[in-house]
Amino acid sequence: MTALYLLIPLSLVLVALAIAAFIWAVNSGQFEDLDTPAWRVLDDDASDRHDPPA
Amino acid sequence: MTLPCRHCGDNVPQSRTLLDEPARGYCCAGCEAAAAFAAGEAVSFSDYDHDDVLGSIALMTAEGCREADVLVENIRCGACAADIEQRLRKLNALYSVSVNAQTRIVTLRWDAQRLPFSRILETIAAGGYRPRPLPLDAGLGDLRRDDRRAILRLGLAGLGTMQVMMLSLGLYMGSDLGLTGDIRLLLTWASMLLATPVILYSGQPFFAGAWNDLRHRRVGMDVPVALAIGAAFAMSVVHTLQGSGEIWFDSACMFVFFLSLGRHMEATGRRRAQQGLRALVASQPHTVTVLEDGQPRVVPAEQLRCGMTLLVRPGETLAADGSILHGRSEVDESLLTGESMPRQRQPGDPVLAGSVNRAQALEVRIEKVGADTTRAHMLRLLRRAETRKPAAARIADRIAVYFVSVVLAIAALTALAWAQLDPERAFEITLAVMVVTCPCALSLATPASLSAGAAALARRGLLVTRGHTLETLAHVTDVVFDKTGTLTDCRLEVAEVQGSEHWHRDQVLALAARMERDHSHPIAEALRPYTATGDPALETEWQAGRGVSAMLQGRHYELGSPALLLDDSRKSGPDDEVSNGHTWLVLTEDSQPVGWIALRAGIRPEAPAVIAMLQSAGLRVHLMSGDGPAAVRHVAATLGIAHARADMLPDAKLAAVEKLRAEGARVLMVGDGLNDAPVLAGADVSIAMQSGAALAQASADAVLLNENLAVLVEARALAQQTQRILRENLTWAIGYNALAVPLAVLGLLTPWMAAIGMSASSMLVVGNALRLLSAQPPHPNPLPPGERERSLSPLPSVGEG
Repeated sequence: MTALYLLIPLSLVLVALAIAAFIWAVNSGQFEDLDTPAWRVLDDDASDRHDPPA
Repeated sequence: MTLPCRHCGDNVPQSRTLLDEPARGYCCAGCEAAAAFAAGEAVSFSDYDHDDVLGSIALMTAEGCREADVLVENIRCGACAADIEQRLRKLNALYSVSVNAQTRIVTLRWDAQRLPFSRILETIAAGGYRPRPLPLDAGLGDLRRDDRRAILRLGLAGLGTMQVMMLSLGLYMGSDLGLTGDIRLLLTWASMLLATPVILYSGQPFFAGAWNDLRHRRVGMDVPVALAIGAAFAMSVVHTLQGSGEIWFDSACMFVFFLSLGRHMEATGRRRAQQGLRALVASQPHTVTVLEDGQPRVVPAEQLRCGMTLLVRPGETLAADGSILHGRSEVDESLLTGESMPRQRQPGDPVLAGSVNRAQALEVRIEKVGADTTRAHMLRLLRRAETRKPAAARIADRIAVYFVSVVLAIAALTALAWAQLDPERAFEITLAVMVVTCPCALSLATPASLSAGAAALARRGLLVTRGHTLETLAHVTDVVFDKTGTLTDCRLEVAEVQGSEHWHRDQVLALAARMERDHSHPIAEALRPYTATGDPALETEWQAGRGVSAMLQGRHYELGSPALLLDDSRKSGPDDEVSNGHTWLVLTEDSQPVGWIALRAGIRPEAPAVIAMLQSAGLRVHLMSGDGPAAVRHVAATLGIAHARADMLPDAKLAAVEKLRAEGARVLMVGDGLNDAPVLAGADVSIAMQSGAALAQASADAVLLNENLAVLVEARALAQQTQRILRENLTWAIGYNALAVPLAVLGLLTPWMAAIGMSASSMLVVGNALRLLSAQPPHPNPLPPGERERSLSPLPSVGEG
């Protein structure tokens, strides 16, 4: 039972990490369009992106 | 350096780079013509490069980039979106582009110093798409932020609830596992830590809604929800701090999660149906050309005043309501009315803001501007319809709320009673009561059934946008159809032929069919059945907007619209009374009219079978149309509809529907036009066509995405099945509790037994709901697959190639 003293706080940390990852994903727009990305694999030239200037 | 062709992307040969500006970017004359045609002939985007116009469309970011949203109306699927993305990636200085196929919005970030905005728009238009930059005040940024916040709330509630439930299970079963007091305390505190953000952040909309209701002295659904969540949470916090007593973090979290889930799903459908409205907002041009003493001058659209003369070039959108002073043209009002065919307009005719001039330049006297235009009026009408529409009857949600209150009361009484009888066992028994009555099965029953039903409908092509749709659809007694665009589609058919002195009707039809034989536009398709075999092919020439012409035996024949082929006399057709709802074509011989052909919209191929099935299911089918009696009689006779009325104005339609409802009927309205919007909002439940007016879609309860009427029959059956499953689920959830609570109160159940019972009960409810998804379409499709596909592709595709 004493293992729980470690495991429960650990699980809380993991949940916090999961929530942080989720917040990042939402804010980077990953949940806005759930249809289009499926078609992107069919796009031949997907690799030649233009990056913004440094 | 070779540039890619703006239309097809191939390299532009050196010889063509020496040409004048408009032709230079294309690899060949074909691509140039195709791009010009696709872009609506002469649309110029250069207006968008003015600084003040760009300022109202695009944000300036910190790095000096511009950011803008462009609505592309005719994105139909993910493939279109990928195509646009691919085209745009070829542009330099365009840093990011994301195309959303669901919202049809392209979000762009680029360097305006190096890349003019017009070039981006031209690139999109060159693919045959119609880009419309969205003004910043369209509120898109706000909408996106709201969207993100809603997803965050839902996700947080989901993650938090799972954790709290897991910890609670430990607490419930703790006494059997030999949990020590310290660990129990740890679990309680961990639960509180996890539940707090779920209640305060994810549950915030419920509290805000309840506060809003209270301030306006009314009791909505949010008040009991907020009370239940708030009380359970507050009591749990107090007990945690005291270190003794019950905690209900799990119930509170679960309640927040499932209610948010249901609302989120409903909101997503509704938002999607309202996308078309943004096209309406975006249809306002930023600059316009006015004529002052005959001299054209470009002014910002806000400076338009009544009485000014507006010059509208082909391809331009009207910025105000008015009437035509000079010029004849075809005007596309599809955004306002859902009418797919452009209307002939001549001097004296009214034209509306938001419609697009398709053929020739018009001079328009402005009569209404800004908030007075029909377009603005429609937007207001919509907002009113939105607020007036009764909120979804969430009966089961209401049951759940009272249920939670009752459970809390029973638990409290149980605790009190057992504290007197047997203080040793009081804790354990109260716990069992709490667990066994966990509202999850009950709060799952409605959302799980309704969302499974809605998902099954979406698979068949019907997008449900309001929660009550499935419930009402199951009890419909009367179906009211609008004619134009609902029972008919944009395929044309020959309605009538008139000859002249030397020309018999058959001769007119035969020559017309022969001239159109090698073409593929809708008019040619309509004449196809009249083609005689064996006639030698004619050398014909087709001109966009004018028609087809041919030389035969030394004479010059033309077939096309009377407005363009004839000078003054007999513009609109031979006889106004018969021409009701028809489009006339004229056949000329050396510029003299020799015959007339009337075209009408063809009846959807699946319509007869669908009407028959609805009638055999015991439903009364009505036809209420704004068209003339002749056209309505034809449709009603073909489809066997007994209750058909013609010449109905929107008010009359609404009155007729309300009369039906007063007689006790439950009315399903199926419509597509602007003038149907009030009726769609007034019927018990309404379905709009995907190709219809944006306002119609926004005021309807569901949108028929694939335009296949056969779905209506399936939808009704599916709605009834959903209702059956919903009732089963509710019965089960309530019955289970009615059985288990007494057992628990009497102390016959241990907490672990209760936990298993609760989980099994929830899974049963979800599993039952999921049966809807696997259900086969209840009626065989009345159409063979080939026919069906034909009815699915309403518009000839333009611009590819």
